Amino acid sequence: MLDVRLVQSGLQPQHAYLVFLGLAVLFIGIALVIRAIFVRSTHDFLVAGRRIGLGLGVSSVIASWTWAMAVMMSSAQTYTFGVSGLWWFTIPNGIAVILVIPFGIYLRKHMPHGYTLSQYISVRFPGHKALYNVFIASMLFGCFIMALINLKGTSVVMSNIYGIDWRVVPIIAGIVVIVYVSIGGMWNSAVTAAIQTFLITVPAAVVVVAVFEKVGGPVPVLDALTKSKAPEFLQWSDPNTAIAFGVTLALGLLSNTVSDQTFWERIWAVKSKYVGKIFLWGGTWFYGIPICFGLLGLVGAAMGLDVKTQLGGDAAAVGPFVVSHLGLPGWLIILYSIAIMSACLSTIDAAFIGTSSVVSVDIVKRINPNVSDKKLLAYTRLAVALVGILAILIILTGVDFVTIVLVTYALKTSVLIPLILAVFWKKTNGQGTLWGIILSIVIGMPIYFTKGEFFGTLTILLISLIVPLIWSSAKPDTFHESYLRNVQDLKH
Amino acid sequence: MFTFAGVLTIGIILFALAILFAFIAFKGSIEEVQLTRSLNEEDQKIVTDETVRDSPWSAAIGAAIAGLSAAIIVGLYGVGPGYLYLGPLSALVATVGITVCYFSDIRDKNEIRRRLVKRLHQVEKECAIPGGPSAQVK
Repeated sequence: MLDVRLVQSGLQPQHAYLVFLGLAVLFIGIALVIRAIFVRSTHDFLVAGRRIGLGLGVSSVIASWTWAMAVMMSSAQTYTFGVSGLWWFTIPNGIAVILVIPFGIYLRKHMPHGYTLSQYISVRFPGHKALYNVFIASMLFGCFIMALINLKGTSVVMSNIYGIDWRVVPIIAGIVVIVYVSIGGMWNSAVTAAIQTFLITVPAAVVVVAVFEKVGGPVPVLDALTKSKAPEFLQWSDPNTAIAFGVTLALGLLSNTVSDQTFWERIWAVKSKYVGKIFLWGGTWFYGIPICFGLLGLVGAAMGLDVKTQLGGDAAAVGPFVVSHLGLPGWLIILYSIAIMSACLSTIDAAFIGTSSVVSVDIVKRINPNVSDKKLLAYTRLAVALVGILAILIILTGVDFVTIVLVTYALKTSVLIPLILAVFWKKTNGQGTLWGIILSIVIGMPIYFTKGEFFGTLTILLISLIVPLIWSSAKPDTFHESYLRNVQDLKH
Repeated sequence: MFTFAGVLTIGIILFALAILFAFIAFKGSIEEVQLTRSLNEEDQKIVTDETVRDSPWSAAIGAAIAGLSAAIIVGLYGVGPGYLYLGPLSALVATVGITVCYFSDIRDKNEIRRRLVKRLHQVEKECAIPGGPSAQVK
């Protein structure tokens, strides 16, 4: 085991307030500049006038995909499963982003004026209101759970590092994001993402090297692991890890990109010529983040940290614990917390914009097609505020949001394959798609609860594949891509 | 190079450069929006070049190369202590990679300005030709 003396960081709640204040001033300041220049209409607010370039787009994809989870879970999985844990956590993560490319290319070619995934479904399967509603619910739940998890993540990290009341954190973080997103919309999300991405990648390298230096370098880390752990801990190919979480995670990640509004929104917000490159480079450069932060898990394992007594029963705390208990200078710990905060805030803002798009395009416009753009923009901003306040309240009341997680999981996993079929197989029909989703949830979820996540996920995916496949083969749809061109930009 | 001081210095330089290029790109986006906002839809299409150029094959090849590189780096963690430095190195390389992407945004603005000038000349020429589109409108 590594011979290191654990030291409490001397950071106080007021340091956390300073971090919040700094980030709030920066991001809200940017939002005010953006509002004055870019945001003239709902169209500008939701998809940035479809003018986001390669750099801003890549940053935006990385920042929205880097959840608190990517930062903390990469360390946690390495700490729990060893190198194979990091392998199974990291590799599918980047690939899931890159696999959005075929969807992006298809959509920008055939439906260049779109806004939301559910809007695509309404055009792809006209008249299937139930199916449209299922996708709206799936998008809203997906965005909402993103906001919840990241608000919770921010709360856990900041309260652990600074000793700040955990209830204060989601209020401040939530309000900061609500304010800057409702001012600047997608443009703001993209520009702040640029800063947030660099606030993750650079501190990652600096903090990990500082941790290595504090524990005597990588040699004692690897020595300690060789002596204290089984040989499989340092091998990437441990099959038990794949069964324990790897395969399920890989499938879950795919449904989190391909059937997620935050990604589809970016498909429509970037310049057409970059729609493939943005996800390619986004996925590629994303890898650097978990690959680097995962090393904190190896250090934690080499230190012989105990999950129950030292990490509060949650392996996700291993990264923050290692960084804040090695006696590193305060500013380095603050840097680490800023990296995690950036990861959280960028994902929350993407989730808020995703929600506002669905509300304005699929709900408000559907109820009142003649609503003026000014009113629509007001509703869009209101949606950001409402979903933000609701998320904060859920975190504060301490309500266990396992039910919301499960509903989101069921919806997102069940819509994945039908969505792929809808996009790439013209014969896919609406009834088959709807029943594929319903049956996969009705049959798959009980299996999920009784036989575990692995078999539950496989069942959901299989049923959601077989039902639309058989139904559509028996009664093929006559869809033509030209219908998608009927979708027009919101008037601006 | 992999001392704390070395990585900190490189990190600060890369961060400063990244923010600088991001700022130049952002400024370019502002100019781009201002240049194209007043154009009609047809001119906007000509000036901004709205074609989808990427191919789905890039997804397959890109996923394979990026995934394989990441897999090799993580796999090497268990091989020898020196390889653990590949983690921080990857994070720094990612910073450089993202910064390079901003060059495209900067180039875009210049390209749009060039196309806009060209389009203006074209419109001027059309106006000057008797029987040209603008003359017909008159």
